[in-house]
Amino acid sequence: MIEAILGFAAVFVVHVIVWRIFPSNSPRIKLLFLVLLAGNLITTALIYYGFEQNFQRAFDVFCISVGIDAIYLYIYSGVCRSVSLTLLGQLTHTRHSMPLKDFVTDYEESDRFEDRVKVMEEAGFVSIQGNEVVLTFKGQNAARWIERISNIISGGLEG
Amino acid sequence: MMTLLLVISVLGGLVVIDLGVNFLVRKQLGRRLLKLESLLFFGLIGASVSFLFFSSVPFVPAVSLFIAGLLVYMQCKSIFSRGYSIRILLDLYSLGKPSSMEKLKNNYGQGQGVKGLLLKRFQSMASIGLLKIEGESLGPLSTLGRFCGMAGLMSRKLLGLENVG
Repeated sequence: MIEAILGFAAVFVVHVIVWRIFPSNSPRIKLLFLVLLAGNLITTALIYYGFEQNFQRAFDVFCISVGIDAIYLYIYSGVCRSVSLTLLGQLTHTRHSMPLKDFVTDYEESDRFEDRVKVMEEAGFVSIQGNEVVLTFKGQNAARWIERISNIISGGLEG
Repeated sequence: MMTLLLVISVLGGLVVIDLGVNFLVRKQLGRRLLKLESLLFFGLIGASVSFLFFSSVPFVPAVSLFIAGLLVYMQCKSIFSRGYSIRILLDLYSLGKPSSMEKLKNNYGQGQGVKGLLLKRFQSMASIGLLKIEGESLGPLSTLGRFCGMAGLMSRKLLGLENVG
């Protein structure tokens, strides 16, 4: 278990350094996944070859690393995308209550909504033409599948 | 391999039961009973972990794989019930034609708008004890809410994520 934790710690340091040197408002979850996977495979390989090709030990380390990586990815996706966390952060600065309309005004004046649409444009689901947002063919197919899956999982996507 | 197969079986069973019960609850009662569904879900997790503990496979690696699969499932559930970006995609799809950014924002979530988007998040946070809501007055934060808020701010600062969420 300690090997998996140390392996993750090393990858985490690399992740933070890269994210700080090349900051971006894009979540870069795929990149993070690849970094974590690379770290996991390197750790597993080191254990396998370092302990006389003990497959069971290497497999155990791999499984524990997968668990740690999944927990971190779950937390990271909240940190980088969560609207709730943004709202909590705003309330952290005050010890009093605040009217909802202040949050609404602040959110509407920010470009957080537009950023979401831009990320979807980068992924190819929409196309922004001037001030118009157009669903691409890929976006239409995705929307069709999302509707079906969300009906099964939760009875519909509330948003 | 035995570990992997067992974990996949346990996870598969959990997912099928969870989806099935949620579907039946909605169909029979016509609404989501969040507390009941949460209790059942945690019960299923407890049962699964206990099963893995008493099985013949190494416990820590098995439960690590189980946690990984469980988190993937939970993330999918969250995205397909509350996903912000894919809600925007569905709004655009149901419009059937291009839309201006302003109109898309105002009609977010089939007409909820930004106010509905934020209010829903606040109501969820209040339901788990992070803050108080009285009408349209939000806050103050509880101790747990303040801790989560500070942790979130510090994490975003550490990772250089400024204008997200």
